[in-house]
Amino acid sequence: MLHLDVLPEEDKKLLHEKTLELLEKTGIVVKSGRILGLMAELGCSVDHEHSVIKFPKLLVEKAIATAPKSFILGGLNPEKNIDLGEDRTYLATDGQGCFVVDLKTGERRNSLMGDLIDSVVLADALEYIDFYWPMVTATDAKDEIRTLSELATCYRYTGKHIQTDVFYPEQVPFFIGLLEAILGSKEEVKARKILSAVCCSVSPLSYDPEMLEACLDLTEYEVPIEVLPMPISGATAPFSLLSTVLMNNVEVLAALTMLQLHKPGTPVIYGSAPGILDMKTGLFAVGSVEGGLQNAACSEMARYYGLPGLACGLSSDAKEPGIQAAMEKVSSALPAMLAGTRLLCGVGLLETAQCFHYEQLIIDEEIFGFMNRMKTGIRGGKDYVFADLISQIGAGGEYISHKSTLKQLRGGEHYVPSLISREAFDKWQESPKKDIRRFAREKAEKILQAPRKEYFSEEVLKEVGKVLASAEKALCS
Amino acid sequence: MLEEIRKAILEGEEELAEALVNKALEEGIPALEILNKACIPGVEKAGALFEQGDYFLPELIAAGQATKAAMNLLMPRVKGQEGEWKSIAAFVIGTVEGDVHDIGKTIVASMLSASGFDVIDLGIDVPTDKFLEVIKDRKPEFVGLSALLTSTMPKQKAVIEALKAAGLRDKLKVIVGGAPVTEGWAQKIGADGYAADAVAAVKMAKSFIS
Repeated sequence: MLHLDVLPEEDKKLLHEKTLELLEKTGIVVKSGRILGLMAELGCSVDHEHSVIKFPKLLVEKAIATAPKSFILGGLNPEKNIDLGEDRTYLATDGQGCFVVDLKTGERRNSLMGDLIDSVVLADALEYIDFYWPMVTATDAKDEIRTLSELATCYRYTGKHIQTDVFYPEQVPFFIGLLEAILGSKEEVKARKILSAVCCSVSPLSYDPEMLEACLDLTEYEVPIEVLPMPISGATAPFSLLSTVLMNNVEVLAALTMLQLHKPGTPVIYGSAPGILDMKTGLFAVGSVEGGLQNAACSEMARYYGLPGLACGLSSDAKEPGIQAAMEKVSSALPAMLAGTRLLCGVGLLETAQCFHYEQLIIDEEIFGFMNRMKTGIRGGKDYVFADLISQIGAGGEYISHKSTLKQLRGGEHYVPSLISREAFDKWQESPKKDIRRFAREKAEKILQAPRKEYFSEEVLKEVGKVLASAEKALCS
Repeated sequence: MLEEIRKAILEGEEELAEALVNKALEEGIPALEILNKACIPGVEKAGALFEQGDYFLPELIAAGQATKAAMNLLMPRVKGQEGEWKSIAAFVIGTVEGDVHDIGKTIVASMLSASGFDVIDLGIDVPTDKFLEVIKDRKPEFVGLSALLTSTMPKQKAVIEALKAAGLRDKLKVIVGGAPVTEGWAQKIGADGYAADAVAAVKMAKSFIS
């Protein structure tokens, strides 16, 4: 395995020290009386007037100690379980766009439930995708229960782990109800961990009170919480990249401490989605080289604490698949992969994670394949130095028909691309790979035309329907 | 037993294929039956797997080599029999004079051989006279001329001219290849075809036969 360190050890230590200092002296803002009261009870220093929570150093250190270092992210199909203890990068789709480029017409429009279904069917079929983040919003669903009905739909069509946002504490009973309807019991919900919840900070130094309340409630059911700050260099964090990483670290440890104090042992994922402000357009740029470096640094900080990390890379600000998208996707993801991030999300969306492109989801498979091969590195040691063979074949020979080649052929030494063309010019001119976008689109169409795999029995479908109906009754005014 | 032989050939297990063929012969299975029901289906399956993208080049070549090894045992016994197995065609191949590039030509030769051609590989830096001499002697259906340098490409033309002068041009098909070679160049020098890679070379040669 290739390992990249973008931060020297002393910078990691410095970031850790400054984080403890900031958490203790400056603190974060959460405008929730409930959380302020809870944290005061649990030993934090709370300023109710300004909604500030400050964390004593000892509590933060205790929280880091009680957070589990590895756990399972389950799938409805247990064969798709993710073991965070393994040294590899697991990949997720990007979430959550509100536009789509229609597969048939090529028109860019608001995304609908049908697009969400297509995206989850594709993600389930594509082997390189390990878990799923609802890729687009179903703008045709009822707003109050949109995320719940989206999630129910996604579980119906994938056996892979799903992560999503739970925006309000009032939704929690229905999310848990949904999981119970699918898995049969609350014990199974706790044991299988088929859902993880995203907990976003609002940089700098604050948390959305309702989302945080929802996450604290979810800990009762041992739902893994993915803390995901998105600090922006030059906008919501200082301009220096190291300080943006610091902001990310402070916000992660703040939420981690709250979660661990509330329920020690809660599985927490150290997330990062740092970016930069493009100083010409004033827009958030996710596909930047700097974002890639910051992601790598955050992955290293996750490793520093021994926590499983998630990086939002494979991102692009391009408006269509093509050269810019490819450049940005690699530079925003590769450093984090080499820095050892356990989880990576970002495939399938463009336009700063706003628009789903079917063909990009297919193209990203190849991009990830390249990067994953690079991460594997050059295998070393005596077993891989074929000096005797070189001597035996001598000058002017060939290795293509030699047994050793045949033996190693399928061992992963060469990555086998599926989309790009290495054909000779004349062949390429006639090849379906000549137009990579069309080729990718056709691959997507082929998957979508096949009979859909469903993961719900009729009984589960009925139970899920009941949960959605009761949520609608309770939440829709 | 036949299934085992077929599998050994498909998987390019040369020694195993030989051992199994010997065993089958000892058990009294007719050589022609082994050939038609095990060897040929095995190597054909390998070709099909390659075509559909499931097999790699070295796997196809290994299957071809295993077939060849089995053939060597079987051929002396099937000669003269009805339905006797023949190679598809004889194919003389070489890199032209002044050019020492080997691997591309070798891959083409291996592929042809794996596909059932009787390949006579003259190696690299082959003088025009040498091509002529072998062609006169072996009377192949094909000659393949490889050139990897723009400076040696004219030697492909020289071989064709020499074939004409010797009255042999109509007796065989000339296929040219190599990185700088194009379809246009092939036409210009009066070759019968240009193949961009090993697979194309096999396809082209087969198309001339059928």
